[in-house]
Amino acid sequence: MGHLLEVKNLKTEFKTDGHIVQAVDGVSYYVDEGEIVCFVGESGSGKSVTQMSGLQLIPTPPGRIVSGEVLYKGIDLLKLKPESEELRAIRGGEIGFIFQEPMTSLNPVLTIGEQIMEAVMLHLKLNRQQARQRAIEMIKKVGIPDAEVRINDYPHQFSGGMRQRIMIAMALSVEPKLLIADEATTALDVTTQAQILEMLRDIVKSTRTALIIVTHNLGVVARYAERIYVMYAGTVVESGKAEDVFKRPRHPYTVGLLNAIPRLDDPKERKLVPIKGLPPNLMNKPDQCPFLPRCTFSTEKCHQLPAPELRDVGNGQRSACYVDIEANREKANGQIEVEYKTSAEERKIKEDPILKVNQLKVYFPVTRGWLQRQIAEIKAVDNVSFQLREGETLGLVGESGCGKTTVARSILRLYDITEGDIYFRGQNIAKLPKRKLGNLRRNMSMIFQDPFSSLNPRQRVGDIVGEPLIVHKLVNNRKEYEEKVDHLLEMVGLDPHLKHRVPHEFSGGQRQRIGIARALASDPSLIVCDEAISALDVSIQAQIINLLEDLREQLNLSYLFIAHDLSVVRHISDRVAVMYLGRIVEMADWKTLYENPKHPYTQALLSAVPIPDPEIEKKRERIIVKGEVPSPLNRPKGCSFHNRCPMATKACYEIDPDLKEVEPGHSVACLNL
Amino acid sequence: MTQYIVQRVIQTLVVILILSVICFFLMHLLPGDPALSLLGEEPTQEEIERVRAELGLDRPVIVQYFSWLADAVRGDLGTSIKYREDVTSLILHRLTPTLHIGVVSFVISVVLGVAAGVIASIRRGGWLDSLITISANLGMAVPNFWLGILGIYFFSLYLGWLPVQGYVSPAEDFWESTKRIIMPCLVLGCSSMAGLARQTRSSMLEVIRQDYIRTAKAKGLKRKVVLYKHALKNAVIPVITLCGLMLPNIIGGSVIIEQVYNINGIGRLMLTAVFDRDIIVVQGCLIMISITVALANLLVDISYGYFNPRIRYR
Repeated sequence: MGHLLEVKNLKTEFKTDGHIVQAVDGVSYYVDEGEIVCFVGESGSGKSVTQMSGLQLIPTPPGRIVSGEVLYKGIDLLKLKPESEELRAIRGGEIGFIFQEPMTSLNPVLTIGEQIMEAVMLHLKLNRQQARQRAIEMIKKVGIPDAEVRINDYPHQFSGGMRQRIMIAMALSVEPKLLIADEATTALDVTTQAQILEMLRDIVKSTRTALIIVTHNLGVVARYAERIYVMYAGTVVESGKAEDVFKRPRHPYTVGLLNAIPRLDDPKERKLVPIKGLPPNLMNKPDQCPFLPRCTFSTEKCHQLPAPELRDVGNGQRSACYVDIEANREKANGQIEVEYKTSAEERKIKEDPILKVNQLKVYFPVTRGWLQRQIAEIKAVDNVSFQLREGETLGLVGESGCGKTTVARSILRLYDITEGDIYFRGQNIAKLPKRKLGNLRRNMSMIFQDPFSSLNPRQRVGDIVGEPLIVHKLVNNRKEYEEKVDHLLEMVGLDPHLKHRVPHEFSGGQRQRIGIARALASDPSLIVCDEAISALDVSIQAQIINLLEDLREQLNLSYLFIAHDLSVVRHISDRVAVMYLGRIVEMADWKTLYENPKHPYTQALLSAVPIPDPEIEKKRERIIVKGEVPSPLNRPKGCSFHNRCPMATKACYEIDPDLKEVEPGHSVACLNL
Repeated sequence: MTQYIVQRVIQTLVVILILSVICFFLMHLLPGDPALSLLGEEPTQEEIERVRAELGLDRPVIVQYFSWLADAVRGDLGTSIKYREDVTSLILHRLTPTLHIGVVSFVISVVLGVAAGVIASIRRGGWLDSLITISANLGMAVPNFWLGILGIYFFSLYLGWLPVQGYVSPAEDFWESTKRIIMPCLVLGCSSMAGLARQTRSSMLEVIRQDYIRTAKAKGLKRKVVLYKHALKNAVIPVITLCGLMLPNIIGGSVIIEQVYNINGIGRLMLTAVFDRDIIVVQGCLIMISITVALANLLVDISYGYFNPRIRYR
C-alpha cells in the first residue's frame, strides 16, 4: 500500500521584480496514516510554501508550481485544476490546514459558528441544523467552555490561544485524513503552545489522522515528531526518525542548528555556536551545495561538485551532504572546540545596585464614551520590586500581557509611573521632571524587539547609530562623530562602510546589530533588552546572544533582559524574575530558579518549554496548566494564579500572597510553601 | 447593538444642535442688512427701524437665536422676507425634487461604483480593470456642471433621447419623471461613483491578501463563496465610510445640478435666496440640509455597525 501523501520532486517558484525565486527546489517527502511528521527550518527555507503548493494554495501569480507530483491516495493533486470540484473536496475535506497567525486567520465579520459550519456543510453534506450540532461538538472538543453560546461570537471576542483552538476545531470538524499545522503555535505563549500541541496530538492519535507540523522550534520537533524533514534554502537537507536526527545529525546544517540554540539542560557556561553568515539568496542559485558558504565541515569536493542529492546514510536516515559527518561525530556534537564564556564569578558584579525598583505600580486608565469617563484601571504593573547590581544581568520572564514590557518602559520613564520609586545609582528617577530625563536616558538605553519597525526606514544607518551622540552632545566635531560611529559599528560586527545604507538593505540579524550599536552609542551602563532576540531566526539568535554577552564583558554593562524564551533567559541571566499578571511571583539566581522552582507557575512554565532532545522529552514529566492568563482588568481575587494552579487551596481564593524570601536570594509569592 | 444605536442617535442630536448654532450665526456674519434689501432704494431711518423691529432684528443676537430655535423645533422656520411666505412650507415643497434626485443618485452610484470596483479587483490587471480604473480617474477629475452641459448637448440635443431640463414628480408621471431625472442623477453621482469604485477595488485587493481568505480557500470553498461571502463583507467596511463622506457632495452638488437642469429644488431656492439676502430662507435651507446630512450619516453609522461586528460589541 502506498503512502497517504507522497510528494515527489516538487518545485515552486515566485517571480519578483523580474527575478525568479526558487522557493521550493525539488522537495520529496511522504506521510503515512496516523503519523506525526515535522518540517523544521528557518524563515525562507520553503517549508510553508512546500505545504501550500501541494494544495495549490499559493497565490498565482507571482507563484508557479513548476514541476513535481503530489500524490494523495494515489491521485496527483497537481493534475487537478485549482478550482475544480475534486481538488476542493480534498483541500479542506481530506486535508485540513491550521495557519500561523490565529489573530488574522479567522474572518472578523463572520461568527465562528458560521465559519465552522460552512466547512461542515460543504464537505460532510450536513444540513444547517446538523452542522450546528457538529460545530458545537467540535468547539467543546477543543476545550472552549459554553460552546452553545460562544458559537455565535465573533473572532475578536476570543484570545489568540482560543482562536487557534477554533482554527483546529474548524480543520478537524470535517474529519480530515491529514492535518497540516503551519507554525500553528509560534505566535502563542509557551503554556498555551503546550496546551494546544498536547490537544492536537491526542486528537490525531485517537482518530489516526496524520499530522504535519511545520515549525522552526526544535524543542517542539523533539517533543512531538516521529519523523523529521530538515529544510534549508528550498530543499530537504536531512530526513529521518526523530531520535536519529537529534542524536546523530548527518547534515552540517542540522548539526549547526542543534549547537546554536540554548537549551534548558545546557551547561550554563557553554558559548552558543552560531552558524556563521546568512541564509542564501534564493534568486538564481548556483548549482552547488546551498549550505557551502556557512559550512564548517566542507571539503574540496564540495566546491567542485554540484549540489548534493539526498542519500541514504543508514537506518532510513537521509542527508544531502558529501561529507561523512559520522567520522567527525565529536566535532558535530560540539564536544571539541567548545568555547566557554566568562562565568558570572569572573565578571565583576559589584554589590551596589545600579537599579533599584521599589513597589512600582503602573496603571493605565480605561475610558469609555465621548466624555472619556474613566471606568476602570488596567494594573499592568502592580507592586513590583527588584534590584539589579552593577554588571549583573537580570532576566525578566513571563507570558504576553504579564507586564514585563511595561516594567522596562517605565524604568526608562517612557510610561508615567503611578506609584513607587526607581533608583538609578541612588537617585530616585520616578518623579524626575521630563526636562531632566535627558541625562538619565544617556545612561540607560533600550534594544527593541522588532528589528524591522524599530529603525527609521528613511534614515541612514550611520545617522541612526550616531543620533544619540548628537542628542547628548558627546562629540565635539564631525571627525570625532564619524570615528565614533565607525567604532560602534565595528563593535557590533558590522562593516563601517555600510553606514550610508538604509535599514531595508540589511537582514534581520544585521538590523538588530544596528539597534544594539544605537543603544551603545551614548555609552550607557544599563541596557534594557526588550525581547531583543525573539524576532530572529535560530542561527542568527545565537550570533546576537554571543554579541550581547561579549559586550557585557567588554563594557561592563548591566542588562535587564526581557524575554519569553526561558532557555535564552537561562543562558544569559545571572538572576531571573518570573512575572505573572503584573507581579513578580518568583525571583532567584538562575540556578535555583531553574533547578528548584518553587512557584507552581514557574514549574508549569519550565515544564512547558520543550527540550530539543526526543529522549529527554519522552522521560519528562509534564505539568500542563489549564486555562489562560486572565485579563489584568479582572484580576482574580486572592492569588492571581489560583484559578489555574494545580495546588490551589481554599486560602488561595482569599489571600493575596506577598513575595517572601524562602531562602537567601530566593523569593516566592505562594501560600503553599 | 441597541446601545450602539442609542449612542449614535444622541450624538446626531448634539451635532444638529451645534449645526443650528453655526447656521444661525453664519448668516449674521454676512454683510448687508436684510431690512435694507427688503425696503429697496433709499429708505428713511424710521422705515428701517420699523422693519427691523418687525423682523425682530433689533433684539440681542442670543435672544434672536433662542426664539428662532424654539420656533424651528416647532416646525416654524419663519417667514420669507422676500416672498412673505412660510419658509417651512416653501422648503418642504422644494425639498421633494432634491431628495428624489439625491436618493436615486446615491443608490445608483453605490450600486454601480461597488460593482465596478469588485469587477476591477477580480479581473486585476486585465483590460476591464484598466477600463474601470481609467474611467474612475476621469470621473473624479471632471467637474459635474461641465459633464451636465455635455450630457444635455449629446443625449438631449444631438441624440434627442432625453428631455433637456425640468422636473416632473413621479406621482404625476413615473416614466416622464424617470426620463427627466436620469441624467442629473448620473451626473451628480459621477464623482462619488468613481470614488467608490476606486475604494472598493483597492479594499477588495487588500482583503484578498488577508490570512482569513487563505483560510477560506483552504477550507475548499468555491471561489464565488470566498469572494462574496468572505472578502466582500470585509471590503465594504471602508466603502461605507466613504458613502458617508459622499453625502455632502451629493447635496452640495445639487445646487449646481439644479441650476444646470433648471430644477426647482432646494439648491436653487437657496441660491436665489442668497442673492436676495433672504436670510430667513437661507437659514431654513441650511438647517434643513444639515439635518438631512446628519440623519443620512446616522444611517451610515448604523449600517457600519451592522457590517462590522467589532464596532457593534464595543
